[in-house]
Amino acid sequence: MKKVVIAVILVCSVAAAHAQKYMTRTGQVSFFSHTPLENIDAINNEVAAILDSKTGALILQVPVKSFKFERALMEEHFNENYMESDKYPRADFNGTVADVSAVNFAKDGAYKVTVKGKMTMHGVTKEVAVPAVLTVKGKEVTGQAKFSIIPGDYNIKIPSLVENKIAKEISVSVNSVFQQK
Amino acid sequence: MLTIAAALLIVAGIVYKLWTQPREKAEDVKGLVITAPALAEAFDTNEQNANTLYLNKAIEVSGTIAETEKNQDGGIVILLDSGNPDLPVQCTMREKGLIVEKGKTVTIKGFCSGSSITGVLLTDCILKAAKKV
Repeated sequence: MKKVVIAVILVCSVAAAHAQKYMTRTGQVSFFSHTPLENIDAINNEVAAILDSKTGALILQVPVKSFKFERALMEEHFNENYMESDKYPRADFNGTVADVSAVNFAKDGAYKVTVKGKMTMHGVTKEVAVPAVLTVKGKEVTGQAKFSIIPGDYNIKIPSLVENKIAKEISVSVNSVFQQK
Repeated sequence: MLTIAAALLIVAGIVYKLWTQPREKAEDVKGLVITAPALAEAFDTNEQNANTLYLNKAIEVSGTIAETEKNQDGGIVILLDSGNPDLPVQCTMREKGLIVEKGKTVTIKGFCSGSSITGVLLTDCILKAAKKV
């Protein structure tokens, strides 16, 4: 009987270890726009994310108003004219780490994965697939990804007066340190 | 000729002023006064309605510090207890060297960025008042 109890406890412990959730409230997303006339970059340190290490389910929520720019005027234009943060306060990603089974969350290391799902921004939802790296270090998992977005794909209109100052493709970087929940 | 030069100078002055205008600070605007539990409840009950009331506005929120943490840029993040553990009021402070203690009742002023799965978000915050409980 004692052996059965120990076995049950062991099975439960192993199951629990594989069903771990990781969370961050201080994830980082930045973007960079390069044109010969002007470089624009902004950073956001208030990104919320939850990762389920068993199913690979991943949710990322980016509060638009929390992007910080070098100049207040850029921030104002970004919020009021382009992203309309009063109307669309958040950019959301809802998807999965497609190959999560290849990640050993119990073993330190860097694992190349593909993140797939729906990205909603400025009221427009698109299917995306992005290569990413998950780095496991103890109880922390760092998720990093770099990809590009085209503002027009999300119905973000750039006025012709400033179109030479804003890149056709915006480089986006994600760098989020998840903690075990 | 002189008129054109004067007009150009005025335009250049306006462009320069706009380009170098300072960011709006929480201390320069009147904030909506609310408690952390009331703010969280507003977002929990009806996010759309809460966004209409608070999003992108200066908020002066009072509550008890439940937790603090540092973000990846070394900024201080204060979580105010809202009575709902899934929806604390998350305040990212402007001052990086700020020292705060758990359990203190404080009033924090910042701009509301809406809510997320981790809480109601306030950004570019300042500490308005603190008292020991």
